[in-house]
Amino acid sequence: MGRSRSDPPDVVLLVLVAFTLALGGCSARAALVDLQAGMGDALVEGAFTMVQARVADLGFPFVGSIVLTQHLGNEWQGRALATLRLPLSAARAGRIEWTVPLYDARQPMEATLFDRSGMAVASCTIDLRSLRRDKPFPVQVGDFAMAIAEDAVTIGPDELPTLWQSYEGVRSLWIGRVPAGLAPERWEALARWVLAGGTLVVCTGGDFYLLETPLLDGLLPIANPQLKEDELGMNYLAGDPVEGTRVLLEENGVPRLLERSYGTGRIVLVTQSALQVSPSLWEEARRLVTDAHLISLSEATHTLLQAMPFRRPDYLAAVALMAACTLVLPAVVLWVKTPKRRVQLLVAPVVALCLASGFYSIRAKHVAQIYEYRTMLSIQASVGITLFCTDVVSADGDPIRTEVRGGVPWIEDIPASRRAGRFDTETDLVSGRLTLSLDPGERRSLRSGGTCEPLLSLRRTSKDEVTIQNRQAPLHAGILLVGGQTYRLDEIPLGERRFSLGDGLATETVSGEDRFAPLLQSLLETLPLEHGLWLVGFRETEKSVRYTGQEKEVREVEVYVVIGDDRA
Amino acid sequence: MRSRIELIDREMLQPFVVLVLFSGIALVLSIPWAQRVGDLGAFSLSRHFPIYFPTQAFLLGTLGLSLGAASVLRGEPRRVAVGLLVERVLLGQLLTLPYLFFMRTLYPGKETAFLLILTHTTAVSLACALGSRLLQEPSRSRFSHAYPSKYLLFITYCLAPLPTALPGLSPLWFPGGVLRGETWTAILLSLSVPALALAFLLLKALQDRGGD
Repeated sequence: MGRSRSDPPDVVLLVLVAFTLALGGCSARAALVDLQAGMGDALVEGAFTMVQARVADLGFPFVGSIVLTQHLGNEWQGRALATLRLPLSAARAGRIEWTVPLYDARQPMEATLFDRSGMAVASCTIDLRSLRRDKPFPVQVGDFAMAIAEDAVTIGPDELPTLWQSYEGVRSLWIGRVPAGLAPERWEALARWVLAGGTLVVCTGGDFYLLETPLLDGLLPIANPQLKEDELGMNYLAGDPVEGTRVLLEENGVPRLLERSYGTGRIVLVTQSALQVSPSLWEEARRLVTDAHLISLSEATHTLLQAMPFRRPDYLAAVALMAACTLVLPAVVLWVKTPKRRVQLLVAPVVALCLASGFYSIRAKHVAQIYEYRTMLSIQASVGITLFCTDVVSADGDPIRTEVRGGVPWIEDIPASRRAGRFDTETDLVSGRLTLSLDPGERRSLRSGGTCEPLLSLRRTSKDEVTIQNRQAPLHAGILLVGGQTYRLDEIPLGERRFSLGDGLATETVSGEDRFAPLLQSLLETLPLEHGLWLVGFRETEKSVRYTGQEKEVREVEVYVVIGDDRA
Repeated sequence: MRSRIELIDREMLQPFVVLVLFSGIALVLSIPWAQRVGDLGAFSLSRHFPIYFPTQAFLLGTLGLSLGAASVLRGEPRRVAVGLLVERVLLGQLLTLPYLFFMRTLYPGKETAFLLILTHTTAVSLACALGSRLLQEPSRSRFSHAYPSKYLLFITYCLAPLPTALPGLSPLWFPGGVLRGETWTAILLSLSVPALALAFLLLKALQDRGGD
């Protein structure tokens, strides 16, 4: 017997459904997410860029996540989809800044806000086409007498990103007259960007004291800065050049442009105010200031992955097994006359061969379906940065899915033609995982960046002695560079350790020197290791992991580059 | 003619040696040739040449066909022939069991798939053995028309499903499908073919047992 339509349970259910729908509809109407991408009105594809979101009318504190979706390519190039889930905690609600990978500015970026239960409560779309730049662009911050370049982007000091990776699309960043100065977190982000290879130009003169912070003092090419007047009565900043400083330009004996290296980047000091610099000096400055070139271990990581041994069972073992199995059978059947004994003598060696085969097929001999090489470069000076590169290759005969761990947004090197593979990426920073689909034999290259606290320090304690303070973990090998002279270290233990440069430190062996050669080559090409005091330390780990039934061989090399204090 | 009731003897040696030798060769060829990750390529043979399981499935099928024919030629009475064929097929599996252990290095963590493949190949081999015996029985001659027709049937069973929408029905495709993680529906469908054939042939053999 069926129930009538007016039975109470159905009515309650209908009311509940209507209430839920009404509630959902209200929250969707009330919620607002406003998205802004790029620096000023510019961004570059294939690089990290700043995304700022303003979430309102949700009744904070709000806990949930925001998902950014980018569609890549077209029918002709092949399509791909990149999604990035970013955590949204109550403490960070309001205006939030992230650095995200940008793949294709020809298509809009979609943002959807999800609450804790996974329900979409708001969404928006941002058109990126008008922001797209073909190449990195110069950025000028504050007031200038004239534009530094035709393609320069002008932004206010409060619009500067606070995450250093967001500066990836910047060719050079020029700071002019900024009456209110820059916030410390922005100076830190700029210092980190320079450490990674950025070019920062600071116009000073009489405006220097508007900008001065302890961090900036440590970055400048001069120590003990003081204002002086040139023969025309114009203020300029002077001081004691720090080691490695180059005078790029001087007028009548007055240095106008000074440059020093900081990590892999450069800091250029314009000794005059941005409002007083002559057009001819600007012209020279534009010509002399080199473009940013961020350090990357992508090539080295690829080389190291290619050289990684392929784990598989030995042919000799397989041939021996085949020979044993094939010989046992006729031997027993031909020589043993009794049928019952024949069967017994056949079973016994086969069981023994099974055992031998079973013992042989231990995990160390298992063929891995996925090979992953990770490199982490940590450059440590007054601030610290980390750069991650991961190369993954599928050794499986079938398409597989794999994941890369790490609580940072990754950017994938996606080729212009995406027809050859499936380049969808799914990054979830809530769980710290990036999921990839790989076709047989396909390789993927990912990179990312982050910050770190300087836990390794290096200083010269006397003419012939340096002290290394290691507060993180022992390093397996290292190289000490003092004024271009190389000293090899076998191990850098935890704690403070003094190394005498005179007696036997320059040993001939660095464990795994050959293995790290591609990494060292990358560093030598980008870091000014011939000047000052440097420490390059290595740590290597290798492990096999299982992910959804797949065997994955992971090798990880951590490279620590420490810029030392060379003042004895 | 007095029949010889032995599990294995000199006359029965050849099909087992063929199975063990060629399965061994397939095992060696299944090992990737690559020395370093750089040797891997999307279409490179050095990556993987996974022929062991299809080869073993084919060889176990042909072993079954040979065993069935041999059973008739040796004059084994049907009341013991079914049991003997089961034992001989299991002996064939036992002789290649060391290879299966070795294959764990190439397919780690796929033990469930191995068990399914083992079950499938045993069923196929046994069905072939019984079918071969029943086909060959009326003529009792090695060179009867049943000889080519049973091989033709088996090859058709192996190849015909491959270009269709149900390639998993082929014993050559089944191992790869299981190792790739086919759905249970597809696996059960593939297993049902040799299982049903085996059940039918067993019933037929047992029904006619009184004829001995």
